[in-house]
This record gives sequence, C-alpha cells and structure tokens, in this order.
Amino acid sequence: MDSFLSSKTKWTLTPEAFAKLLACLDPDAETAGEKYEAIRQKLVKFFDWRGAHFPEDCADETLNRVTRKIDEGDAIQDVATYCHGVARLVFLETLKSADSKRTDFEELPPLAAPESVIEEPDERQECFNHCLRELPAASQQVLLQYYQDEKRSKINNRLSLAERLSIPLNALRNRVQRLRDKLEQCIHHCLQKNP
Amino acid sequence: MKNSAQENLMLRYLLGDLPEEQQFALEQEYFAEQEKFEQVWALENELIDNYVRGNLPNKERALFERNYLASSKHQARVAVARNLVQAADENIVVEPEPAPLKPNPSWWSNFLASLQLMQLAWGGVAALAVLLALGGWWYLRNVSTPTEQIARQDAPASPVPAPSVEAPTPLPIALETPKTELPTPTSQPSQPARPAVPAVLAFALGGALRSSGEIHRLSIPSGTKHVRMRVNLEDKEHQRYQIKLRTIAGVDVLTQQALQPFGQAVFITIPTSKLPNGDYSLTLSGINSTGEAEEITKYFLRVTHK
Repeated sequence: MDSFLSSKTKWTLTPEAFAKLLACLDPDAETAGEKYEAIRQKLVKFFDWRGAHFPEDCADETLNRVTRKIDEGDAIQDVATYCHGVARLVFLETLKSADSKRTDFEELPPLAAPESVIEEPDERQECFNHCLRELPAASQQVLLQYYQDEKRSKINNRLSLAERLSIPLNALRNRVQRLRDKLEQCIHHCLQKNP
Repeated sequence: MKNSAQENLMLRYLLGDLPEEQQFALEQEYFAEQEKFEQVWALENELIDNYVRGNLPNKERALFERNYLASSKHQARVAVARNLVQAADENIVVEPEPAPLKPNPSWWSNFLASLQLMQLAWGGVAALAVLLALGGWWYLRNVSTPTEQIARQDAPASPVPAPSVEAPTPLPIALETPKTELPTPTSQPSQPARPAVPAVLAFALGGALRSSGEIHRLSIPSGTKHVRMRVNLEDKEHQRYQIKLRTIAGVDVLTQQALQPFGQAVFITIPTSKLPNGDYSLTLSGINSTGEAEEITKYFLRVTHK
C-alpha cells in the first residue's frame, strides 16, 4: 500500500477508541458491529468504483481517521455520511500521491502487452472451480441459477428462484452479491497462492 | 437492464461518465441508504455480465473498456464473471424436480426394518432363508404371468426421440453428434415413465464447410431450453472472438463479444426461445488488437423445432 496514508496518520487505533466508534454507531454491540461492517463494505466499494488501487486499505484508513476524530471527542451525528466525506479526502490524497510518483512516459520500460491481455486462463479456471466447490452446494446452485440466461428468461429465472427460496427478490439479490463477492475474494487468494 | 433515470445515473457513475457533483450526490445517497448501495452493486454486476455476454451497446462498451477496465481489480472481476457466466450457462438444468412424494412405508420396507432388528439374533442364516423364499416367490410369479413381462418389454425404452442434427449427405465436415444432457432419472420402476426433457442440446460447427453456403440443420426437440453451440477454430490467431447470429433476413438475434476461446473452440449458449423455426447466419469474427472485429467465417443454419 502507498506509504502516504500511514505517513499522514501517526495515530494508532486502540481498543478503547474502536469501542467508542461502535458505541457511536449503535448502543447495542451486535447491531453496532453489523453497522460497522456495512459502512466498511460501502467504503471498500466506494474506493473500488472510484478506481483506487487498494480499496480495502483506503477504507481502513478512512475508518481509522473517523475513529480518531471520535476518540478525540468530536461529536459526529451521522457516521456513514461523515465517513463518505473523509473517504473523498483519502481518495484525493491517493490521486495526489499517484501524481507525485508519475514518471515520464518515455522513462517507462516497454510492456510486452497491455495488462488486460496478460492472462492465465487455466489457473483462473482452476481457482474458479476450486472456489465454487468451496461454497455449500445450495449456495452454488443459487449463484449459478441467478446468473443464468439473459433478458426476460433471466428475470423469470430469478423470480422463480426467489419464490422457491421464499425470499423477496432484493433479498435474493443481496445474498447472491455477497456470494459472488466471496467467490471473487477466494479466487483472488487462490491466484496469489499459485502465482 | 432497466433504463430508468436512476439506473442510468448509476450506470454512468460506474462507467466513470458522471460529473463530480453528480457522483458526490449519488455517493451520499448510497452511504445513507443501504438499498441504494445494493442497487449500485447489483448494477455493477449486471454491467460486467452484459459486457462478458457482449450485450453492451457500443457507447457503454467503449466507456467500460476505457474507464472501468482501467483498474486491475476490475479486470480480475471481469475475468471471474467470464467463468461465472460460463458455469451458469452450463448449469442450465437447475430447476429442481418436484420432491417425490414420500410413499407410505410398505410392508416390504417394514419387513426390511424388522430384519435389521432381528439380524443380531438370527444372523445371516435367517436373512438368507427369507431371501431364498422371496426369490422363489418372485420366480413363480414371473413364470406364471408371462404376458405382463412381454408387455413391459414391448414398451419403448425411451419415449423421447433422440435429438438430431441433420446435415447434408454426405457430410464432409466433422459435425459432432449432439449430446443431450438429460436430468437424472428419478422415476421408480413401478411408476409410469415420465417423458424426459432434454434441457441443453449441444451442437458443433466448424471445419471445411466454412462460408461454403451449406446449410447446417439443427433440430431442436420439444422442451429443450438452450442450445449450447461449439464453434471450432481452425487456428487461434486472436485472443477474443465475436459471434453474431442473425436471421437470414438480417435481423440481429444475438451478439456475443469478447468470447474467450477454450481449447480450439468458442462456446455460446442460446436460449431456444431466440431460435424460432427458420434460417439463420452465424458469423464468427476475431477481435484484433485495436478492438475491431475481423470476420473469419460464416455459417448457415436451418432451425426446426420438433
């Protein structure tokens, strides 16, 4: 991860400070934990959609800064909105950092091929198969059926799947998104393990 | 994908095509509302899947390739989506069979259960005796009712006609025999056999007939949901391929862009609902380094539903 984030913040997260953040989210510890996870996920996706190279690290840095503010006694009414504001600053810092490290194009070594073309289809396929098998059988089926087909038949397919599972369509969508996310993470780790 | 104003806004956000002010406003919304966040996330997945399936309009595809794919994380996500879409399309038969009604325990199963209880006491000898007795009863019963047995033999083994690909005779190319993936038979011998429905019909194209104008005949058995088409490649000169299926009148039926070859072939899955009876042309193109499609070959298909 770029060193700009750690160099910006010398403060270290403590269990007490983290407890204050959680208390700010909800008086009930379990609900607070869930809200924390939801905010972190939004932050990760925010950085991801903005094209940051290390969305998880940026999300954690944002949460650290927010926690620090709370620990220092700042009253924050809406933690999620506040996080968004801090996240934008962190993102701008990543851009500035990238700018400062930019090298003249001519100085760069020639690339054999654009990154998007460099692939390892067999390894990826193997990791995909492995990670899919890691999911419980029922989850595999839900995931595969959810993404089957196109257009009208896809919609019908999802409706019948939701009906069969006795859950609303948006609950099915959320479940499948998390399964897909889990699958992606597993494949990412699998490819790192077998470079 | 719905084209509501809100979805369009989200789509432009994901494609990096939204002014900063609107980006900020949308982000504020999804940070405040979980449902909004889930919608953007779902739209991202739809966007990726549509790209992988070659269903993005040109403008969106260009933005996607220029902005979304600029991130290596996003490239990896698209690669996973390719695997996922392929696996999903190959996993067509997932509609579960209705759960078979659990029959009331028969005297036979009760008897077997009691045998299990008895086995410690009586051991193998008693069980053998019972089996011998039953075997004798079964033999006598079958010998005494020959007509019933003959009737069973006369019954057709499979009520479903085998799917076939009719090709011009003689067939000068290696046209694979279509393979039908049938659901696992679940019917019990005592029940009347239920007609099995082939869910996926496999069909192969490729070889010396390319662009020769010959018509490949594709007969789709009733009830088939999808045709899995394998288009063989004579040489793998491109990283990506495109398949365009049109009616003979030139109406677009399906376009799949950025297809990745597996071995010496590319694969597409076509819902049979998109293939009414009629004649079609299928164009295989390679995607060159500038992203343009270069036509490699064209096939002609005649689809009939049986």
